[in-house]
Amino acid sequence: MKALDGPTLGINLRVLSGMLMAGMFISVKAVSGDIPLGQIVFFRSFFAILPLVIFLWMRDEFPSGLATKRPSAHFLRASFGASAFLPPSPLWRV
Amino acid sequence: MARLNLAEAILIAQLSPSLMALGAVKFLSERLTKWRICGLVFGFAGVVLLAWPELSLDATDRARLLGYAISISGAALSALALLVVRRLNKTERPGAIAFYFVLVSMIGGLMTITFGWIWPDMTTLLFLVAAGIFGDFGHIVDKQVLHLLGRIGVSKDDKTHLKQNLDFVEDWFGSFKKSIARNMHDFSYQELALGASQPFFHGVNQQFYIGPASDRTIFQTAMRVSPKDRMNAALHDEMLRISDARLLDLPLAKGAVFRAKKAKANPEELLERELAEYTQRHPI
Repeated sequence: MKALDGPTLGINLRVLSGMLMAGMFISVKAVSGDIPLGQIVFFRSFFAILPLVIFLWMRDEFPSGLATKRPSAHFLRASFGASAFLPPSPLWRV
Repeated sequence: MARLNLAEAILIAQLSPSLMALGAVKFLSERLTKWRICGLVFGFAGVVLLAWPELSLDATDRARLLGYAISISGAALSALALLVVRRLNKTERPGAIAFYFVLVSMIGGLMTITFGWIWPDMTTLLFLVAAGIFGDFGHIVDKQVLHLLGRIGVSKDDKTHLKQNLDFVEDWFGSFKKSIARNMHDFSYQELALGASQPFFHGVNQQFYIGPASDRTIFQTAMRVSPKDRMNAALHDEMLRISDARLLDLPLAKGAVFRAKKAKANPEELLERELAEYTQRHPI
């Protein structure tokens, strides 16, 4: 297969990412009536971290690739990202 | 508790890229071209157009209006998150960014166990696991895209980035004892002598590049040579003396005109004569 150039690959990955995210939102919507929000957030993260570790391991980035000089920036990013989903955000409470 | 339906919530979330583009202008000093302004206007207009019928129908419904307000602040927060990600991409790998995000939200989620959790049945558990896995791969793919965009980014459009690189170069220049502005020739040496070794270097880009043969020691040594020794090429002569002293005696075309004027002779003839004398002194 011919190697895709930057923008084309970017567009394709963006579409794929959108479909996967839709799958995530549908799953969350399906359980949001029965399960407390915190628990959903935990499960959503816990079952994400396992494949992520495997993915990083395969790319030889675990645990060496996790070394960071900017832990505070990571924390900031994670807080912004997570609070976008905090109660009573409609993305979870739909 | 239903304030908005999923379609509306996702629609509002689409404001996020537009907000991110605006934030990039403010915080990352990215350029706002007329095409980008067009894109932003269309992006906002699209969301308003799709949300308008719903909004005007239930304008009195406070819960729904609150839902919209929360959605918009959610979009703003994810835009901020993406801006931080764009910054992080300069130094951090996408895997690490995803990992720390998931780790922090996992710990945050676990902390709510005190409010009481519900033991899920099989179907619910399946959905929870699916949410995690879909969200995870969606996230990795998404960050991979941003990483890709980071590499495409031309630094001349990104003033912060350019400044970052120039600051780095300035720091490095500042680590030398002598002023760089007055000794630039010592640094241009490698460029002039080994220009062919850097065919892909066109100014300061994301990867600041120093030719493989360039070395701090070379620059420092070059700076130690006094102006007088430079002027009469003392080092050059010294190298010739070490390799073959006879070479020092070789008549040079460089000064031939001056020497000919002094001896009131034709420069070409003078040089020929000098060369002949040289071959007599040092038979080949």
